Parts: sequence; C-alpha cells; structure tokens
Amino acid sequence: MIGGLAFLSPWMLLALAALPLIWLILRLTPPRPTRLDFPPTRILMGLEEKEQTPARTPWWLTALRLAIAALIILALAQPVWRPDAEIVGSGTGDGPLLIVLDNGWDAAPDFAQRIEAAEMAIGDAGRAGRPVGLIATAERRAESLQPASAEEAARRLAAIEPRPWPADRATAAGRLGAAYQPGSAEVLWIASPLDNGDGEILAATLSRIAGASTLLTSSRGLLALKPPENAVDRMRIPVARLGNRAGATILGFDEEGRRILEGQAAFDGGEETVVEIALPADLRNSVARLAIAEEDSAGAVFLLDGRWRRKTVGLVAGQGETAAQPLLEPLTYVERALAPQADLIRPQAANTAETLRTLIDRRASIIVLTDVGNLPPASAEALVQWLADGGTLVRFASPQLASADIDLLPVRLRQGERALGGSLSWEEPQPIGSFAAGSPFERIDVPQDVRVERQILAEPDSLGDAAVWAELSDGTPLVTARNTGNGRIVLFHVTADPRWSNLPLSGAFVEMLTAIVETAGVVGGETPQARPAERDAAASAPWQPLELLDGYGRLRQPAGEAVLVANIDAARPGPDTPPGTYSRAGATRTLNVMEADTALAPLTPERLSWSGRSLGLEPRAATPIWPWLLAAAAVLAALDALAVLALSGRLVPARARTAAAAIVMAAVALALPATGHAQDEQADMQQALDATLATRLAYVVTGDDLVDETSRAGLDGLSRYLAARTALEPAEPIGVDLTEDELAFFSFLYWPMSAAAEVPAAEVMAKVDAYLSNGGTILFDTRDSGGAFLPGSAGATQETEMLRAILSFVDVPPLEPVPEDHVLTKAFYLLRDFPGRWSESDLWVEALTDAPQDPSRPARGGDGVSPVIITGNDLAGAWATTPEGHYLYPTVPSDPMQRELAYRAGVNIVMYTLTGNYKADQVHVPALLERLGQ
Amino acid sequence: MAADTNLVQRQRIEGARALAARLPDLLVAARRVAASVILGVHGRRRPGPGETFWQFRHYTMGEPARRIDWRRSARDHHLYVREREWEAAQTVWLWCDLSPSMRFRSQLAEVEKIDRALVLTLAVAEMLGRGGERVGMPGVLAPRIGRDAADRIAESLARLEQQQVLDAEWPPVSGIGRFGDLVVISDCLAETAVMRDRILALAGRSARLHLLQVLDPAEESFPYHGRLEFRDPETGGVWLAERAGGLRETYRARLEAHREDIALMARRATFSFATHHTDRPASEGLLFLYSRLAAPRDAPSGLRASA
Repeated sequence: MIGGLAFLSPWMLLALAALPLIWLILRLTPPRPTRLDFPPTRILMGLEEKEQTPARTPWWLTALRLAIAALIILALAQPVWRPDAEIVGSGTGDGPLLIVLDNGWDAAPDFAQRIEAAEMAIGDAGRAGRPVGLIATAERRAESLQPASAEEAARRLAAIEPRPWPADRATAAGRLGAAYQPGSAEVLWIASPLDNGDGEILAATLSRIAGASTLLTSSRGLLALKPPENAVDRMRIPVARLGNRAGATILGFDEEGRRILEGQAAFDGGEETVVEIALPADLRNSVARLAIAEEDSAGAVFLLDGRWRRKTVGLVAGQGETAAQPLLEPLTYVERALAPQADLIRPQAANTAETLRTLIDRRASIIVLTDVGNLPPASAEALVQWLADGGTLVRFASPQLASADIDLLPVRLRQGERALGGSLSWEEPQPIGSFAAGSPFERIDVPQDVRVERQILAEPDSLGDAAVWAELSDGTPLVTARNTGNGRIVLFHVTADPRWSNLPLSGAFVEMLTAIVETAGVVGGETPQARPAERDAAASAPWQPLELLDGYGRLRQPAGEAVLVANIDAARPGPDTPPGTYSRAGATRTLNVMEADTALAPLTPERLSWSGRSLGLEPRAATPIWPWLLAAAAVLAALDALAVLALSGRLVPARARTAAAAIVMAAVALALPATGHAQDEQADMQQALDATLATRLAYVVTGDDLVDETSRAGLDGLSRYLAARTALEPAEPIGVDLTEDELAFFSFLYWPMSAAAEVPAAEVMAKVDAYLSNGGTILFDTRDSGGAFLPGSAGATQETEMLRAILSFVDVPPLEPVPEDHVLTKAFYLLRDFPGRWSESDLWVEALTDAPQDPSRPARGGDGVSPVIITGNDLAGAWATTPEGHYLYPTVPSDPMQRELAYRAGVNIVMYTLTGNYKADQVHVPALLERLGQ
Repeated sequence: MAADTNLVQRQRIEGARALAARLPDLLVAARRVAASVILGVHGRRRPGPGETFWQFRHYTMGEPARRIDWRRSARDHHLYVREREWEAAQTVWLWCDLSPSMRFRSQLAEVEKIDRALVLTLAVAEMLGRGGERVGMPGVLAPRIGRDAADRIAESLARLEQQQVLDAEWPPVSGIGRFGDLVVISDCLAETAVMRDRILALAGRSARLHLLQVLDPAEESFPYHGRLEFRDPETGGVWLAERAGGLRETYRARLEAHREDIALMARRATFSFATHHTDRPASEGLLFLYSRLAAPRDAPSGLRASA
C-alpha cells in the first residue's frame, strides 16, 4: 500500500518488464499492405514513388501502443484507492476494547459498513493482543459482556444482525455499568442514527467506563414510512427523513409481491413530506406492503392490513334474474359503478335467503338489495345482527319494497309508488333538488340531467329517525339513510335500473355509490353468527404471527420463536412483539415499526454531550481504479485504430461524407414518425366522419383483392336495391380494416371468408369480440355453398376452416338455422330461405331461447339481434353489380328469381340488424288496435 | 522466384479449366450480341459475283449483251441487267488474348476482361460465319466456311484450354496471307516496343489488323486509395504504393500515352484500333469490329475510334 494506493494482484506488475520486448516487436513490424492483383502493374512499374515506405512504425505510434500495453498490465494488477483510517487509538496500551454496536432497524441500511468497521477494530485489537468486549444494543438477551479474545469477538460479531425494533440503549447502559469498572476499557460505539431518548444515558455510562472513547456515526441519513392514509381518490403516504436525503421513491407491492405503484417523495426543507399517489381504488386497495426503494430497513417498510383495504360488496337481486340481456338486469348499473371501487360478490345461490347467508359468511361490508321485498325471518334476523356489527345495507326501491320489514328500512314507506309525468299525471318528472349538507353526498355536484319519473314515498312522520341524503326538487326524499348499531341502512327511493329514473345512467350515481362505499364501516373481525361465548373465546385467543419483518425490512416466516401477542392494539415493536403480520381467527392485523406519532430524533455528539473522539463511518470504502485504466486503454486503442487508418490513407473525406449523410438520414427518419402520427390522426378522423355522417353498409377487408372487390360491388348493388325498395338509402359501402378502423360505427359488417386471407391477430379478434358483444352483427359468408358448418362434419372447405379459426376467438352464442318464425323471415319481405349465388346453404343465427313455437305468434325475435349470422351462399356475389347495373356473377342455377330472392334476403338481413325485433312486436299491432278500439 | 512462377502457372491452369467450363454460356451470350448487331446493320449487300439475285439495273452501253436479262427486258421498252449479290468469301482470322492479365475484374465491372473478349470473338465468328466468310484462328483453327464458325472456335478453344498452351497475347502471324483480315481482341498492355514490332510485322504482310483493346474501368480510372501492393498476374512482379490515391493522375497519363502510341502505329499502318471497356455493352465493341470489317479495303482506317 503506497499512500492509499494498493494493488490486489501486485504480481501482475512483473509483466511491465516485458514492455521493452513489446517495444522491439512493435518497432520492427510495419503494418502490412493490402495485396491486389492489377494487370497494368507493368505501367506502374516505372513510376517513381515520391513517398518512400517508412521502414519502421512512427515513434509516436509505438509510444501509443506501449502505453496501451502498460495500462492493461496496470489494470490487471487491480489497483484500488483506499484512504487510511485509524478507528482504534493505537496508543492506549493493551487494555480491553469494548465495542458497542447499535443494531436497531435504523442501523440496517448501512449495516455492512458497521460490521466492517467493527471487524477492522477487532482485527486491530487482535493484532495488538487486546481482549475485546462486544455488545449489540438491540439484542434481547445478554451474551457474556466480559472481554474475550478477538477471535471470539469476531465470531460473535458475525452472528449479529439488525433487528426490526429500536435499540434499547438504556438496558444496555445498565448492564455495561454493572460489568465494567470506570476507566477500565477503550470504548468504540458504532451508533445508529436515531436517538430514542436513551442515548444520553448510554453515553454517560460509556464515558465513565472509557479510558479513551470513539463514537462512529454515519452521515448517510435515514428514511422511514409512517402510516398511510387511504383518502377518497388517492393514497397519502407520509415519509420522514433524517439527514439530508433529497427524495425517495415509494413502491407499493401487492399480496404476491408484485410492484404495483410507485411515487416520488421530495423533501423541500421539512423533515417530513407526504407522497400523494392518485390511483383507482381497486389498485390502491390491493397494496399490501409499502416500501422505500433502496432503503433496506424495517422502518422503510409499512405493512397494510384490512383496515386499509377495500370493502367487499355483496349484490343481491331478488327475482327476475333472467340473465337474458345484461343491460336489462337490475344490478347492472350498480355493478358497473362499484366494480372499480370494491370487491363485488354475487353468490349464485338458489334463493335470496341462501344468498344473504353466503354474503354474511363472507363478511361483505356492504350488501346491495334490489327487487327484494319481505325477507324470511331468519334472513332478516341475520341481517339485523350484521348491521349491528357494522354492515351497510343499500336498498333500492321496487314495487314489492313496501312490504319489507321496517327494521331493514331507514323509513316507513307508503304503499304504492308515485308516478310523475305519466299519461295519467299532470306532474312533470322531477330533477334532483339537493344533496344534504353533512351527508356523504355533500361533495357531489347536483346533476341537472337526472329526471325521476317514479319513486316510493316515505311516511313523513318516520323521517325523524332517518337522515335524508338526497331529495328531489319538490322536497321528497330520494335517498334516505339510518344508522343502526355500528351499521347503516341506505335506501334509494328509485330502482337500480333505469325503469323509474335515469339516475342509474348518470355519473352522479357512480359518485353516490362511491361515497356510500367510502363511508361504510368494516364488519368486525368476529363472525356475526358467533354466539357471545364463542366471541369471547375468540377475543381471548392470542394473535399469532403470520409473517415477520427482519431488520432489513424483508418478510420472513416466523422462525422457532413463537411470538404470541395478546393485545395487538397496545403492542409496540420490540423483541417480544416484532413487527409483522399477525392473525387471529381469520382476521389479520399488522404491526409496524413506525407509528403516526413517532418522531425521528438524530443522534449527534452534541446531543449526547460526547467528550471522546467522533468519527464518520463512510470514507473507508476502497475505490477500484482499474476500470478507469481499462477504459483509458480502450480509448487509446481506438485512437491507435484511427491512426493506422490515417497512415494507410484510408481515412478519406469521402467516407466521412457518407457517414455524415447516414447520420442526417437517421435523424430525418427519427423525425418522420411525428408527422406521420398527425396524418394518421387526420385519416382516422376522416374515416370516422365517413362512417358516421351517412348510414353505410360495411364489409371487412380480407386482403384478398378479388374477394374485397366482390364485397364492395355486392354491397353497392344491395345499397341500390335498398334505396329503390325501402326507406333506407345507404351511402356508398365502405371497407373496414379490422386492425385499424373503429368498428363501433357500424351495426352490420359483411365478412366474406377467403382462403388466401389470414386469421387476424388475437388482439384484433378481441376487438371483434367486443364489437359482437356490444350489439354489432357480423354476417360471415364462407362463399362455398356451405353445408359443413356443424363441428365435425366432413367436407369442410378451406373457407369453412377459416371461419372456424376466426370464430374460435369469439364468444359465439348457440346457433341454429333460421327457424320459420324467426323475425329475419319477416323483417321486410316474407322469405322462406336466403339464397345467394348458391342456394344450398342455410342461414345460421343465434338460437332463440324464448318460448317454443307458438302458433298464435307468427314471429319471434328474441331480445335483440343475433351477433353472428353465417351463410355459405356467397351473398355478395349475387348482389354484385357493375356501376352500370350489370350483374357480375351468375347465380347457380342461373335463375332470375334466385337473384331477386338474394336481394330480398339482403334487405331482410339489413332491416333486421337495423331495427332488431321491432318487426316481431309489430305483429301485435292489430290486436292492440282492436283493444284500443273497444 | 520459382515459387511465384509455379503459383502463376497453377493459377493459369485453373483459370483455363474454368474458362472451358464457361464457354457454352459465353457462346450463347455471343449469339445474342451477334443477333442484335446483324439485325441492326445489314451490310455486305453489294452487287458482285454470286448466286442470289440482287437487283435489276438499266443496261449501259458497252456491257456484254449476254448480261441482259431478256425476260425482264421483254416487259417494257428498256433493257435490264440482272445483278447478283457479291458472295466472294473473305478470310478473317480471329484472335482472343487469353493471357492471365485478361483474367481481371474490378468492382466497377460485371465481367472479367477475358469473358468479354471471348464473347466478342465468338460473336464476330458467328456473324462472319453467317455472312459466309472463312473464319479461322491462327495456330488453332484453319479458316473454313460455315455457319458454325463460332461453335468450332469454342470447341477448339475448349480443347486447347486443356492443353494449356494459350499464354500468348499475340497470334502467330506466319499463316496469315496477303489481304487477310486479322481481328485481335486484347488488353494491349505489352510494352510499346513489343506492340510496334507486332504491328510492323503484320503491316509487312499486307494483312489488315483490327485491334480492339479491352480494359476494365478500374484500369482506366484507378480508383484505389491507401497503402496497396499491386501484383502483375503475368510476371508476378509486385509494386508497393504507399499512397495509391496520389498515383492516379500519373498512372492515367501513362496509360493514355501508351494507348496513343499503339493508336499512332496502327494509324500509320492503316489498321483500325479502338478501346472497349467491360462496363459497356458488348455490342458496342462488336459494332466497331463489324463496321471496320465491312469497310472497303482502301477506306481510311486506323483513326482512333471509341467503341
């Protein structure tokens, strides 16, 4: 070691002796020229050469290469820069050395350095033959405090780890005071950055013991997380600091340990800052652990338990759960509104009572009831008990609600409902008047577009107990609520679906439900059904640790030590109650190092009135120098390559120009996408305008030019036919590129199968699936005369295989050939079959689920339009015309009537997709008229 | 430098074999080039002794009366003479330089010089053969009439390649008779004195020489930079250039001077001389040769043409 410079492999320096040899070799070997066969060399032969070949390499090139070799040899010797540091005073004779090592959680981030310092001190003492005493202040039990040999101390030191609780210096001071005589030892205190109030006691004890004393402190600083707050739309995480840390990155992990959130904390002057992370509630609620990045200590980790978690919401719809159409289901709107906020549970039980029992068993915090009137007594009792435990019951009005149990309603209700704005009423539909101040709804803006057409009314004298959270403009209550036990009952005086009002369609509905969820309590840890005796037994059971934190803030399984905690609320982190996750009877609670009121007080020599030496911990790090040497060698090697090129004349300006041109080209290429993007947007807008400003038939562009042209011509022909025969006058048909274009503008797409096309990618098909499930219809045409659509049927053509491949991505409903009474056969023309160029294939549509054929009802439509229609008849081929109106393809057999029927089939399909089951209802008109006439 | 000689020798043998293998392709290429030129220029259509009808012309006083074509003259009041196409066969010797220096191709050209030279040779043979001339190759093939002249030359060359005797840049001129035409396609890189001797020897025999110099564009423009070692494929001699780029102007001047010397000597002997580059279409060179071969013997020739 020379002035702090040390070599890890000094024997490599011997290679420097080889440098003169390298010099000789380099001097003697000029660079070899490129040899080239050239016939007119004879003409060159006579040329006098002005510049003679240098016999030797230029001296500066040799020097450069020697420098490279020397640098590499030096780098291989691995030099490091290590400034000297004397931790232990060397001149204090051979008295014992006492090392006091703080190993609370605040020492964890730089614990390796602390251990290193201690090791160095023990090593120095060992070389001086001094006995060493070692004490770790956060350890629970005492090892022997008496000085032992340096080897023994080193062995014990290796076993010391940072603990996830603060150091207990007062206890340590007491034990040291008892074990050591005043002035009997030299003291080295490797102190952690936090002073928990007992630092001074230890300092006083140590100064009494010490002949000479040294305090090692770290200037690294400390970061710690305090309990976060789960606000309405964001998470607020307080971060405390010690020292001069400028900022920190806060990470959030879910149960599985995946990182799901990240936020930046910046301290501007203060010792504490709050990171606000705006997140959807569901993401926020799945955070199980918060940590500060690159701060490995238990204080930089915060475990979240159920108190910070989301609420679970049970949904119960009484009757009429027909599941025919998702948009008509009574709880659809509630479900959509709550899905981002809370865990939704929809048990698939046989009846309402069963459902409720399941929900209560699963500890739903909130239960939403709709279309439920009176409940069985057992269920009602269970609900009341659940309410008392803190549940929140949200009910929606329905015709049968007035018969409900008063215990499960906030107010008493009048029989029957009040209709506003009907044909027998002079009253107008009412808007929402106001949200009551002080209610959870007070922050919500009153929506202007909500109209309530029907409501149920409360008995005015029962409003005394209940709070009216929202009322209509005429003062009648819209939402009432009553607290009962720890829980609450909230009643919407309208239905949860848009039958009575358009409230469920408005944004305010989402906000109202969110507010209810935010303010809902949590059902207590005990199961509501438990009898009091059982509950007491559960309460008296201790909390068992599930996972514990170690000093570095890592989670680990609880090891041999069985830590049982009787009263978790009073527990503070310590050797007996290490921080971590505890559970009792299914409920989990976390115990964290930091609490809301924990203050971080720095441990400084001034505060301790420390009289001895005071040193820093950091500067002992050895800086490796050899990477820099290697980098320098690489740079010199590059210079050497350039020099060789220049010497052989190959470094010519022409190449430089080419390179410059390449760079410019690259820059231009990088700049281009920006403009391209703008053009894309413009094209998208144009496409959207084209698609929406007029009704158009649309076809899917398959990529097979012939098929696409036939589709276009076919839809063009059908458009003319439609314009001539019906009230629909479509504009020019449009081709849709599935990958790029928006599909939502079209109610109907024609998709011919082509063997030459490729099955679209999965994400494209996901788009198609969404289109189909949201009400779009696609007419698939295999153009192969069909026949082999059924799975497993033989003789499937390539087009049919293609169709199968495509439909495998799509949620296809059960299909059937168009039944005789299907609305498709009557949507415009009365049709029996649907020919195209061919006439053999059936037309397949979604199977109708409603009643079997009823002779009195000539048409059935089901509820809505079949999303998938499949034919093999090549409809577009039959429809296709030239602009002059000539048919492009013959029908098979060549029958003018078949062509006409193909057009009629097209008209019916288009009418069906545009008007839905309207025609099926139309058949009742005579009966209705007859009845009105009476 | 026995090793170098051996090396050169071995390279030549390998090159000869490769050339023999390439000959069928070159023959096809030559036919294509010849066809384009034959279609473009209909030469050798002169009245003269021959079998085929050429034209009727008015009888001029003093001609022998037996020349009158009575059948034609009976149709009106003039006398006509039937002329026939001149079909006198001419002997044309062809020579293609197959020496190693011809086996050169730079990045600027598509084909080696030897390929181009062979294509031109065979195309000329094809053209002349169809025209009914006697085509031969000095020391290789005796002149014969026949439409298969190109095939015969290719065959002989292929046979000859196997004997590896084609080192000569220049044909043996002993067999060439008076008034014969000799076509030589070569890179003409031999020293000026050697070229002078060759040209004078031919001029002394009253033969007519059509010399076409085939050069690679790189030999013309010398597009080299940096430290290069140039090697002569014929002698194996090596020339080291420290900065080849700086030699460019001097080299071009010397090449130009060399060519001027040859052109001047050719002009004095009323021979024709032109330079053809391998990056240009082969038909250009063929067109030059064709026009020179078809020109009257006493027409001024040897003017430096660029083909």
